[in-house]
Amino acid sequence: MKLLSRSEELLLLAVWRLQEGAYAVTIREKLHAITGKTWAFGALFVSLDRLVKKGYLTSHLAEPTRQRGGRSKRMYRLTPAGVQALIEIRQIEKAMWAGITELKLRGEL
Amino acid sequence: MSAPQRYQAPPRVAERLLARMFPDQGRYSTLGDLAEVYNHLAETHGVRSANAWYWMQWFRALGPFFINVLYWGGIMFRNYVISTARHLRRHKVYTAINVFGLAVALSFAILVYFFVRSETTYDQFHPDYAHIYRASTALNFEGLEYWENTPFPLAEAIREEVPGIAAVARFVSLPNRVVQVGREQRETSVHLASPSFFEMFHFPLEAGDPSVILNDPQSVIISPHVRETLFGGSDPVGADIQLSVREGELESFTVAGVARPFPENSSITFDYLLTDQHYRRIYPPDPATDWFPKGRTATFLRTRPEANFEGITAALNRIAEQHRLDRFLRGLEVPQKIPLERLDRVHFSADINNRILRPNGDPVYVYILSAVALLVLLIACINFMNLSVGMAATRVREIGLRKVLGAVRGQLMRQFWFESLLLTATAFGLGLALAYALLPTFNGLAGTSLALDVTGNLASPLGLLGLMVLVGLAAGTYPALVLSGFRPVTVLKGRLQIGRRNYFSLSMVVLQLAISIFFIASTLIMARQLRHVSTLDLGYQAELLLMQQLRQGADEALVQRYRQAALQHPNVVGLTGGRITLLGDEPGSVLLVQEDDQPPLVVPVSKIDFDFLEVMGIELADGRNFSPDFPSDAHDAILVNEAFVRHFQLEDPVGQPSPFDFEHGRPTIVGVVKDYHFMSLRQPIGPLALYLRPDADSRQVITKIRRADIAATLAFLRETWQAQDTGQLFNYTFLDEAVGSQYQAEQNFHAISTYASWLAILIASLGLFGMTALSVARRTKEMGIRKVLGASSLRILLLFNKEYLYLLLIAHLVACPVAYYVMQLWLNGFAYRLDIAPWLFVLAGLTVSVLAVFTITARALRMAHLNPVDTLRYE
Repeated sequence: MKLLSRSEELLLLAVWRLQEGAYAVTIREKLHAITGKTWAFGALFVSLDRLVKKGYLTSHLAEPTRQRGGRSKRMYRLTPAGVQALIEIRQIEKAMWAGITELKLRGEL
Repeated sequence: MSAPQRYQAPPRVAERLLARMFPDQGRYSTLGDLAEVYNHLAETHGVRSANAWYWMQWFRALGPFFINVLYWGGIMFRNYVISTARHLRRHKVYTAINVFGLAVALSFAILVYFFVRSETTYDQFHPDYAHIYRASTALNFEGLEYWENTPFPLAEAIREEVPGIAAVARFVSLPNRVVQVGREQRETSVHLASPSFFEMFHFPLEAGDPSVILNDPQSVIISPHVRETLFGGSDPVGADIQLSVREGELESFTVAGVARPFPENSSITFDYLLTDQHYRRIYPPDPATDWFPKGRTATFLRTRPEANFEGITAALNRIAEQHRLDRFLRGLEVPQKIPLERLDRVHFSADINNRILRPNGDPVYVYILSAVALLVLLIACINFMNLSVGMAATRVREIGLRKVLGAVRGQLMRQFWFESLLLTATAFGLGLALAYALLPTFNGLAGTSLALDVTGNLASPLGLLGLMVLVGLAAGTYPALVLSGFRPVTVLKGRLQIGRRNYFSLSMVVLQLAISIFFIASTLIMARQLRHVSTLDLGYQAELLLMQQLRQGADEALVQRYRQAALQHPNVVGLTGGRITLLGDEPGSVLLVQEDDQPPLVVPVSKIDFDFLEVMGIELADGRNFSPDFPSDAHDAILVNEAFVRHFQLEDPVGQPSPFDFEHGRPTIVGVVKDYHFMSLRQPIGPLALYLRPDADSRQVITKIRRADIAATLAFLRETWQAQDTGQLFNYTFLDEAVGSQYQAEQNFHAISTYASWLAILIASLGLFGMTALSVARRTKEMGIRKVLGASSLRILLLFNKEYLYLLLIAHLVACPVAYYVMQLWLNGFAYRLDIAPWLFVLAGLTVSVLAVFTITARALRMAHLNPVDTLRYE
């Protein structure tokens, strides 16, 4: 199985954190809050679509709301495969980082 | 996020634009997400910055969007090109028929396009044409209004009395002048113009300052044509030219300017242009005749842009009243007018025969030619439609597959449009080349001198491109609609019924055949009528009669001297002079006969010599010719024609006095001549009176010669004439040629429509050939089985022909009434017309039928001779 990219990882984590409230607007806000970077909607839509295609996310349409001009939200939720992919990338990261501290990385130790 | 109080819609335009960029047109929740953020921003940062953000979203999407479109569009385009190329290569006959048919039709259409552009844009190359008007004199003759040229002093009167005029210019034509350069003499027209002429009209000079030249009586401006013929390549400025401004009197002028070539669509042209100061040297001021409106002066005026047109017209009509322009028509009390026509309408003006500007065009011929070109194009387009749809069988699988892979109908239609545009563009290129090749022929037929200059002022590249695209779309739309409409399931399961009767295609074939029959019937009727008028009995022997028009006139003594000298030659049969009304040109004189409660009748009069009837070969019906034995003939005798006798209901006219007054009382009718055509052949023969030329100058000399060695006889006559030292050149026309040229326009038109009908038949036959080829291919197996079961080759040929014979019959029934009606209209222009013979329609139908059967048989014959084993074995 292919490894997740960093942006995919961040997206999946944001969806997991938002639980029932994950859709494009909230995901974008969450990412902005944590990483401090602004994500373009275009990039967001494309990546989310790709993750759905890969089977890490499912999406469904929620009730339309007023402040969206009567359009529905497309809500996202992690699939077991998505969870699995996150666990896997987490383990790989852990293994790669094992024994390396920030001081060592800077060459100060 | 906090719930906002109120939904605020993003800018509508931006939302629409953005929606177009989403693959799903924004039906997905994406636009909602953006709207939500927009609302949030509007609350926190204000509407303005929210708008800016929203627009920014659209702007940022532009780049990727277009890259996307180009990338995928390019891939599809390549695919279209490849599949079109494969399709065309696989069906060479079909491609050739379509391209060739369209190319031939387009070449004709391109030629007609240039002709029509030239005719409809006359004089529009003058920048101010919308404010330039030509003035005319309206003469009202008992309710019958006709227009004449303007009196010479009108220009001054306008300048002084009419408000709102920016400039007035005169343009005077002096016909039959002599020009001499070196030792060579020739006859030509000379034109005069006022100094404002070049301010008003856009005629740039190659050399010289126009305003100076037209103020200098010694200067002359020549046309590039004259420079070419008289001076060859050398620079003519400063050269010396002798011109006879006053007849019979050569004067010296200096070439001071050379005009640029005149545009093809210019009403005004000249070879030699002088200042109009010379006019007064030829015709000194004379209050009695100055305002006679029958001169050769055209008056043009340019209005100020803000001028009130009604005010100008009123002031002009006041001038007309003041000078009593109608007093020359024996005191008729009618309002007198000086009407104006805008410069660009002058070419199609039907009301004036001015003899100053280039001859008028006839808008009817412009319409008819355009219609003919469109019909020929239609036939070619129908070929394209029918063959494309007929070929569908070979393409259904491609179309089905495209649909299965997600092509929507619009995409498929675009593909087929693209195909037809590609074919049309190829055909257009060929057609353009063909048009260049045919240009001299067309110019000869239409009597024009068009140049197919694609960059010139006649070609609007946009117009030609439009013609091409129009043809491409017209030809491609029906196939695109049909071919894109197949249901993929039926197509791929092979259940689609192809080749069942398609009534649209069949009715299109009927239309093609009907147009062809219509063209042929019309051409046959025209040919017959034109032959009829060219062999019409004129009532005199026009052959070998040559007529000299004498502008100055020649007195009795001169004509007698010339006559005696000329008759010395064995091949000169007779010679007579007079003021003769012939060919409707320059009537010798006109007599108005007032009758009780009837409009006055115009009776043309010829003043003739004793030998006139003999030279012309006119026969007497009754009575006697003038004779020197009756001295009273000189003042108390007239001859009349049979129409005269009929009109005035005279019984036994010989010996009776004339029914109305001549100049000196009522002369006795001494003889009746048989009717002969003295006016245009368009008019029926009316009453005519002839009397003996007692003292009047001759205006014509008519000579009858023998057929033997005509050139030598003409040389002898020229020498003899010049020996009389009259100051007039020996210019003549043969009467039979002059009669023939009266129908020049009709002859030209007939020639063009003959070509058009052959084109129509050719293209329609090509279409039939293609259609037969298709149905042969479709019915291969059927024919094989028929042959196995005992059908003969002939039977099979009949089978293919039968289908089309019904269509031919219907086409014939459609075409004949239309042709009959249209030709009746055309024939109404002739006084001596043949009735339309029914056998002409039969002949037209037969011609097309024979061609159709021949075409179909040519294609079906191969099928009929095939061995059924070969046709049936391939499964």
